[in-house]
Amino acid sequence: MGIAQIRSRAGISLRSASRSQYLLRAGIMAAGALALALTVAQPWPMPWLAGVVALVALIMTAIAPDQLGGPIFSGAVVASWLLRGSGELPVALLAVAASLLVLQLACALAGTAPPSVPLSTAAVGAWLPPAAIMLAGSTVSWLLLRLLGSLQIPSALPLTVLGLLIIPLGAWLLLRHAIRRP
Amino acid sequence: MTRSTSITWPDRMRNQASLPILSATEPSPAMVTAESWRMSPALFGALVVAGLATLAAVVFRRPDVLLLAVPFIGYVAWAAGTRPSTRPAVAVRVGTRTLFERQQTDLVVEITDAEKRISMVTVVQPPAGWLEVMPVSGAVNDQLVGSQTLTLTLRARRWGVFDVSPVSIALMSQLAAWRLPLIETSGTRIKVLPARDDFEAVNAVPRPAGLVGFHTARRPGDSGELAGVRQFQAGDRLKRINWRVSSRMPELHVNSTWSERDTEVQIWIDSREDLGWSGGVDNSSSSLDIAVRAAAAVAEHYLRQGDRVSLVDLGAGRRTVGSGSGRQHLRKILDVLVDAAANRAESVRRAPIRPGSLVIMLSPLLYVTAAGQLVEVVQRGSSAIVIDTLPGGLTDPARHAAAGSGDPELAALAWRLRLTGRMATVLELAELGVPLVSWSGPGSLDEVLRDVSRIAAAPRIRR
Repeated sequence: MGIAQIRSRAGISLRSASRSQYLLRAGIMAAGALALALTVAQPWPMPWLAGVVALVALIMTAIAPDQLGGPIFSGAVVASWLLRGSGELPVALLAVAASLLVLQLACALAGTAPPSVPLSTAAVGAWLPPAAIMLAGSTVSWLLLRLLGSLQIPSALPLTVLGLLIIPLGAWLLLRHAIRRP
Repeated sequence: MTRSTSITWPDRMRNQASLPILSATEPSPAMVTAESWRMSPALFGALVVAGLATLAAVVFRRPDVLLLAVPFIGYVAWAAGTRPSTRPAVAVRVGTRTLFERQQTDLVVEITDAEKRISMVTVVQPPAGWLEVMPVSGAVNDQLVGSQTLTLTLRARRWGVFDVSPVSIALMSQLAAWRLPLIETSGTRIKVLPARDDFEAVNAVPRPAGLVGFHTARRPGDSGELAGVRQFQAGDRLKRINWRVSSRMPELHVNSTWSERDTEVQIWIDSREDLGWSGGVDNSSSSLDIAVRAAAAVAEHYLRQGDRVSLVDLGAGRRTVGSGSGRQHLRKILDVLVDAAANRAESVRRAPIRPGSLVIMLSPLLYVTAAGQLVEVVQRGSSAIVIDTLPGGLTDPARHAAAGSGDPELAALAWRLRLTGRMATVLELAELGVPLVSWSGPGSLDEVLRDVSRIAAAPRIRR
């Protein structure tokens, strides 16, 4: 797909978008901006390349939420914390995680219908309980990780246990569903 | 390797399972055999971010990075637990395939999910010509809990035959993590018949000729229409004796009545050019719009009166309906009218003329040949009326030129020349005694029908 085609499709997508889709895109921008601002506001300097990638990906996500802009943005934010972060767990980190969750869900929701179609309120309402559960899970995880830190337990052990659980599950999902068998 | 299915709206994948659109009368809706559920781009992205972030957190011993991965891990876990495993049943029905202008039909999509794991459904119907899709976005999106019925409405804005594009149905699991490939139905064809304007005309035709009918003929006969009172003659029925008059006169007198006859109405439609802008049934009309709707209205009126009506398309020889009467015949005429299209390439059809018939020609009068054909009508002793179908706005050369492309001055000049030719045709028709009227719905033809009938009834000198 050429640049002209991308611009044309983006223009059509934005011009014809319904009110609910505009609100979703506004939500994506707000969540992304909050995650970026909280990352930039940390005492350590954010890697400039990660910042540029995150900004471009965020704009791309607002224009075409159903594409890979959202994961790229999240990846850039995670990379920033990985490269320059001190390993501490401030409240801002929980807020960044919550922003990434909102962005992820908004991207998924926006991809369920063409931009011009108003989204059903009932359908959107059905997304709130899972979102609340995931947000609560993030908060509990944050509290647990802080508790482990305050108890002076080395982080390597619980992280390894979690990794051993999560990584095989992810690999299984990829192999089972994403990769098409011949 | 395909990682996820991304639905690119509104372009639709063409190689998907298709199902027939069924009419309401067909008994069992077809069950769609949907392909397997695929990951959405959102789930794929979440899986990648969660996997990489968790790996990095373990390798570099970073709990903060793990916390950032937690929302994505939650999304993936939720998706893994709510993946649908069965195929939903999808049925699509279209109400009726034949409509009149301004009428609408429903396109109903029924989805049944026995497993109750499908969460959202979106149905997309692209617009099809002059069939307006409601809601305006051409799609509906709703929650799906077990079963759901979604309705899109197609409203006919102009006559014609339209191919309705396939309906696309997108089904998604909870949090749009899994989705089926777009299900596309097969297309269908909807015929839109012209709206018949409320048309009424006086019960007058110039030369009633049949055996039975509703029109009062100039000849005496059996009917209820009183012609006068005259002396009793041999052969008169006793029930016709007017006793009140006879009691005051030396001889018996009887009531005499006019006979009632039908006539043949030939409708000529000049489809060689479609001038003006067609904006649908509630907006501006082109010359062909006016001609088609007026022809439908006139045909319905005379067929309701019991007359015989035939249709001749001067632009295309194959579009002709022979003389006939009744409701079925009206449907035949309407079926031919919806196929009318500007057709300049074909040679002009020479319409058969039956003596004594009433010829109603609908034309913008931009071709001299139209007037030429009417000469023969008049010479054969038939009556003719011309309905002018040129839209009002086109009589001004400046406005016509401004609307077109190219040099406006040249366009205005060319159009002025054509209008001059049209004026010559109008004068020629006036010399022949053929009345010209503009179409304005009910009563459009009343005055001219009375005049034509009076002329036809006038005594003539036989040469």
